[in-house]
Amino acid sequence: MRSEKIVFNEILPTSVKWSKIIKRGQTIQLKALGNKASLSAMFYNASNVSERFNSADTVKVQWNAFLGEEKVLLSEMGRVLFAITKDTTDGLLDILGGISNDRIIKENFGDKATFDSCRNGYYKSDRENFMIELGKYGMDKKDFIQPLNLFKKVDVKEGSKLVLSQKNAKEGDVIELTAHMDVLLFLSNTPHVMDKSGDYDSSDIEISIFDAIEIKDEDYAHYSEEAKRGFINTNRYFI
Amino acid sequence: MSKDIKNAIYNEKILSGLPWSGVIKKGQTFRIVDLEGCQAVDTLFYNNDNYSEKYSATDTIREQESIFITKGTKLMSIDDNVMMEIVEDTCGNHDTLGGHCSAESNSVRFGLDKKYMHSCRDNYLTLVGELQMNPKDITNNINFFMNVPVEEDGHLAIVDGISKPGDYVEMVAKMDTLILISNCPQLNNPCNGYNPTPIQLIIWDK
Repeated sequence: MRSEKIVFNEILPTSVKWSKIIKRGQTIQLKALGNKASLSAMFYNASNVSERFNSADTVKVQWNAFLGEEKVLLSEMGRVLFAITKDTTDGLLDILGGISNDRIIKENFGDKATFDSCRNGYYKSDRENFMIELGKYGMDKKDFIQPLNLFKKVDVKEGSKLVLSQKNAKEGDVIELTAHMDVLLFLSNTPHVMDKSGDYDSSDIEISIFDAIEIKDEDYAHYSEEAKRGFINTNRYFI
Repeated sequence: MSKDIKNAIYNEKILSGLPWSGVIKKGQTFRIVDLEGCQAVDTLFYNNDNYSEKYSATDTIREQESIFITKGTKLMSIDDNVMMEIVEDTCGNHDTLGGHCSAESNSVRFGLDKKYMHSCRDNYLTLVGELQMNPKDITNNINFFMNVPVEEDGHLAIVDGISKPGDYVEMVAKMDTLILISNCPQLNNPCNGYNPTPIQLIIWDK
């Protein structure tokens, strides 16, 4: 369940970075405005950024390396930062690929698109984006975590081989994350780190934040027993 | 220098459930022996000159295009540097996805009453505190000798280990590397065969 009232709306163009605190009970909707959406995210308990998204706990606890609707995104404190409450992409989420850096951007997209040659259209890496945006909160490389990528997926073939899925999100696809804590969220809108298409053109993303509602246990009655224990831990934090 | 045990500069048995830290200098060889088999060894790596350069699971598995650690794997840092290279592995595959157990994740995985059991995160926090590192330096670790197969649909489970008594993994440092180990105390799943056991740690000079 979420409010229908949008309290924040912004378009995130290709290559840029973004950050905001999503308050407990609010839902952030990320909408693909084209067919090549690709976002990377790092996120933290806004009240104590040493509590962070933990991809290992998230997949281990929920018995699956892949994520999707009705899964939760856990911190290493056994609490739910976000619940994935809507996903029209059918699971285009990734915790295996990681983020791009300057070397990878040059390898995948060439070294021609510098600021000097194309001004603000230059090809930024996730590493540059996150380093800058985290710095605005007094955070730095120490705060880098193994990220969540959205709108792209990495498959595990033959039990071990990592392959970027050729499935793309379609224009209009949405992923909605409901915050169960006050979450400091960082986003970087760049091609997936394993995208070797040669085209640096991740789609614009429309960000909408829906007004906070009271979190009710019954809204999550259909989630896994593990997720429910995560909700209990989270609720206890706010007593 | 030959890798005869009598030439080792360090050779110690680490009991189950204990933390361990040590620096492997560039060019030195580090061996972890699973003395009794099926013992998960949760291991983290740092540039000894700058702890903010830490091991990165995603960079490591993406660059080699495989989720498992085995002979030939280069352990990558978040700064895109090779920290260590695996040069021998008598076991096969080692886990990169499961991370380490904690009181808090135990409470979610196994039940709220499992919160007060000893955990790898407790060991890491002990080491990080003693070494005056930052708790934020803790990240997704390698679990040597832990068996976590992933199916096509993503299903993932920590299942019975495949390591035999005496199996070992050996790596050469490509930079001066601080290693933090938790000899995993988990009793709630098969990662240690429900019976955590000692390991042997051996270092040879280059």
